[in-house]
Amino acid sequence: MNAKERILTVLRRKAPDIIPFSVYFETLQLAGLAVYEPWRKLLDKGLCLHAPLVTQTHKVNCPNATMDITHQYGNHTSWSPADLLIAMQAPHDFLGKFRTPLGETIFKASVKGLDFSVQLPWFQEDGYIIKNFDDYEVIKFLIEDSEYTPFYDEIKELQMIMGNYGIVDSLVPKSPLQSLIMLMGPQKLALDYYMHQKEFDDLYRAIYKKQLEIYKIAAESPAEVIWAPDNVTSLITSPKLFEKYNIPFYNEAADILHKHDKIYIVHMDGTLKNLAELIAKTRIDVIESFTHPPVGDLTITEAKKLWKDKVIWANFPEPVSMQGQKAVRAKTIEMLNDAAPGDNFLMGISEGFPSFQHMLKFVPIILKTINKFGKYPIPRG
Amino acid sequence: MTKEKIAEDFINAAVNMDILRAKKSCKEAIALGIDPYEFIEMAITKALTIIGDKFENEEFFLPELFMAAEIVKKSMRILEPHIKGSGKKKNLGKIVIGTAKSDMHDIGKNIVSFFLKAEGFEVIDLGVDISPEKFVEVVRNEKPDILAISALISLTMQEVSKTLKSLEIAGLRNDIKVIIGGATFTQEFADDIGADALAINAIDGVKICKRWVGI
Repeated sequence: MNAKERILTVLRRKAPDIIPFSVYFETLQLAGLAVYEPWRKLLDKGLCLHAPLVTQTHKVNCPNATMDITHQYGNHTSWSPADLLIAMQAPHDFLGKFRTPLGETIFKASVKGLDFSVQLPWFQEDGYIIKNFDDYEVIKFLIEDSEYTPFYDEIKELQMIMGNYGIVDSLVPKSPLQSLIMLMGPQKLALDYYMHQKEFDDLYRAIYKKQLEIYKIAAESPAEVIWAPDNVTSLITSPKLFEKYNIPFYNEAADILHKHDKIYIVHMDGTLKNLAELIAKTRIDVIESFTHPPVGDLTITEAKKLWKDKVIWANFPEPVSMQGQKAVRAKTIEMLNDAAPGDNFLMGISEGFPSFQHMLKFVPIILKTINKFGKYPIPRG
Repeated sequence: MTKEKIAEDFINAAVNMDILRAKKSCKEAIALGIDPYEFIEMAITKALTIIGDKFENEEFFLPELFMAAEIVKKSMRILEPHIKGSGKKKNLGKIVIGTAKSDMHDIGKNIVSFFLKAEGFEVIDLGVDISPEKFVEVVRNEKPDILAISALISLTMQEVSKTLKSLEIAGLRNDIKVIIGGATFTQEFADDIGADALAINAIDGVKICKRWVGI
């Protein structure tokens, strides 16, 4: 099996030759390392690429509003790949202005590096788009004013570039509650949920309705899999919120995607123990970036027991890499044993490593260990 | 209405996240001439203990902690103008808290900071992205009883380790207790770098600090 076949086989709940192990294509692309010799060698040894973040299936237009975003990063203005690497580490300052007939909203944010997967939900106070009630109206206007047009060229191009090295997902927006966390931050979300339920629910419903339009466009795209970057963690999305807000959307979205034979992947990289039974009630196909302890709080064995119909795409818990090569090998074996015989199971790296050099040191160890101990079916014990 | 009944109403309101009822209880306490400090002990501190326990038992999550913090903040605004000279504010000790260098996450730290203040600690919150040098400088100048370091991403683990080493080099390590907290830390890591404790969550962190000062 090639990498693409291996991933899709597991995502369709069939038996692979070996447990697939993936890294995000974007990680290599960001570093300008896509053709870097050591990575090519790893691809030839079975490393799979997963490209969930780069291609959207639609273009958006708000005919009655304008949006200006400026992005500055230090003094780094060079175009050279080496300098771009440096620029990724520099402070980045964002200033965004949305103007609508109902008023305008401004957000400011400063991030240290371009690891958006880590930084975006954690902007400082003024980085959130919704800061007070006036912003609710403006954002609701923007949402309702949005017009989406299908656009599949990027997916087709990336599928061609990627070939059999991996899969290209269609990136869809976070589900409505997870989007609200991004728009207003976890603190305001909590306070508004408890103190201004009506306005909160109105905004949630507006997002819900519009996002289903995007999921319908994604359902008709050439991508086999649809990926939602939900970053669910029970600490913020409590069971109460998950049951009320996340489950109805996941199930409606899943039904839309399944009609078109698409695989519905949701990125859930946090603590999931308290949500595990609720997640089992959803019609999501794949829990991606599932993070094993010590970062997560649910083991693969526990998750497999509860989510019999779901595929688990487990993230290698990156702090283990700080403990050295032996620990990385031991954790990989532990994860494989937990997943034995390995049905409905993939492994990957879906969080940021401290550096690309660091990643390059540990990815080969994980791959080598999987190639040795991850042949399907993995013997129990 | 008795002060016990008003305190009970406040507790019920706070535990049910009902800010309007909680504020009403505070106003009733003032109208009845109850000593604000006594009311804080009877109602607010007790409510926070119940909410903290529910968080530890995983009945409550971060949204409830944020809301509890808001209820206390608004309640204190009602009580504070009546506090002058009415009693003695307790001081359990001084704590310096901050998120380690290269880490911008502050939710956990803010919650710990809030609960420590509510429990009676003097808290110096340095914010996020704090270098080992800054931690050392503040510890030298402020002479706290406890240093609390938070981090969420593993990139910052090295910075936490460096902070402990810098305290050692500066000759300050034996003067303070160091507690670390954040999803990325393990007990093994805490032991390796010589931290005095690892907090598994915000409420656990507060309990450890209270234990250290004999509460």
